[in-house]
Amino acid sequence: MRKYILNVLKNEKGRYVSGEEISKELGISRTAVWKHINSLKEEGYEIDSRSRAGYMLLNVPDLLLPFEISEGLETKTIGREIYHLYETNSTNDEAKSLAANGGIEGTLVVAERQVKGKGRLGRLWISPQGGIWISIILRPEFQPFEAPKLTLAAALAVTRVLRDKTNLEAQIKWPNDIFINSKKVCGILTEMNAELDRIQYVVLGIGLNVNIDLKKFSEEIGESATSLIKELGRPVDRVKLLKSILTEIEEVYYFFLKKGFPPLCQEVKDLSYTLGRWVHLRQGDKVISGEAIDINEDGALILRTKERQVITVVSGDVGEGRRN
Amino acid sequence: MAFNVEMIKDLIRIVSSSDITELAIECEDLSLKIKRDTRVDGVVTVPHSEIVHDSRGQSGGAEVDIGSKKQEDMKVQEDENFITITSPMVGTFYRAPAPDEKPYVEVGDRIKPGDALCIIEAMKLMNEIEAETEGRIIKILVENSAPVEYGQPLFILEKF
Repeated sequence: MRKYILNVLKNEKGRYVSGEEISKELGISRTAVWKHINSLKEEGYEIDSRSRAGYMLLNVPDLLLPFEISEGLETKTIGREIYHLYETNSTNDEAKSLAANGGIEGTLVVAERQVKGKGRLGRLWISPQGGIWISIILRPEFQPFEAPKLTLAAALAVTRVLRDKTNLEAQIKWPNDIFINSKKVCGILTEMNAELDRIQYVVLGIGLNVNIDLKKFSEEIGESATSLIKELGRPVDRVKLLKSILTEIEEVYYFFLKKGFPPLCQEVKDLSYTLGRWVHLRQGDKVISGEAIDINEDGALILRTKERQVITVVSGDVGEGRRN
Repeated sequence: MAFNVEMIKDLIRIVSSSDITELAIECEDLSLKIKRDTRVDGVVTVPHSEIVHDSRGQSGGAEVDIGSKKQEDMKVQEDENFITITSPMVGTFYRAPAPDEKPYVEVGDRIKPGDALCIIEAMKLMNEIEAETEGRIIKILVENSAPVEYGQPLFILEKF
């Protein structure tokens, strides 16, 4: 109902609409209208109420509010169910708990700020107001060992959107980061709950630095990270961008479910930041160094070491380095 | 003093993590000898059926060998009282949710269905492996942050 009231106010922007008008149009009491208006205000919509004149929408806040995201969103499942939070420890944790309690495929958790956002293995991922911090519940019906490729598929989807909507040369740093001008703009962290041969759920977590002033970050992060506002010199409409991301993720996800990863592999390689570079791969205490020469159809990275040994890697921390 | 299986297992753990090569205990209803073969490292086998608790007051001899060969390890896995938890995918094995946090489980811990045991990570997908049965962790077969293969045994669990 709030959505309909909001639509009435949006259609009459700049004009007061009386409570009676709304109550007649929607077939609810004026008290009900008043209550819904109040809860819209609580969500962040700036609505002026004036006795006798009625209600006027003054401003839609710069927030990733569910009504704004779902307006005109043409996906079938991704983002059909939206949980919006002003602040959370981690959208992934929220999504995991929703998924454990039956949250349906495509459920989106979106937060304005994350105070304990998760990087890989508990590393802090800084997520202040102005970014897109989301997690999506997926329930794919393939074997658990297929799931790691979803990270690359999601990275591909976001990279496509960034290139298409901002013209920036976004690239995929294998396997889960997106770089612009050699700096990190987006990180993806996927978490899975599965039995041996059956996936219960996958939570796809995406953190994208959109309108973020990097001066607020520490020097160390400021040097290795970037944001869209910094690269473009202007702010980006987060709601529009998020809608595009959800649409593209759905596109890539359903393609992946139908045809698997191999047909996406060439594009992932074409957009790769990692290929052709000399990388150090940390696996526990061990460090493997080599030139990244290929990404195979399992999504694994192929390295060629100094000794010309060819190694296939599926995990570990990739860092750039010089060839010693 | 009456012995139960739990206490015997505790003794085995104490012996196996110490320099003691042989420990013998005798009391009214049980005699127990734990020997550690120091030539072979670290595989603990508990031949379950051989631990006899004789409640009739007679001396029931129980001998437990600690330190055995790989074949015996396999025997443990085949025993219906034990379950081997294997990796559902290729990746890296992590015992803790974060480098500075405590491991999910240690040898000897009781676990119940749904408890997290470890993470297998591949391409930044973190797969939290949960226990599906109730039991006790008898052995952790992989070092933290080591690479694992599909189907590789990770834990041996003793069913309750």
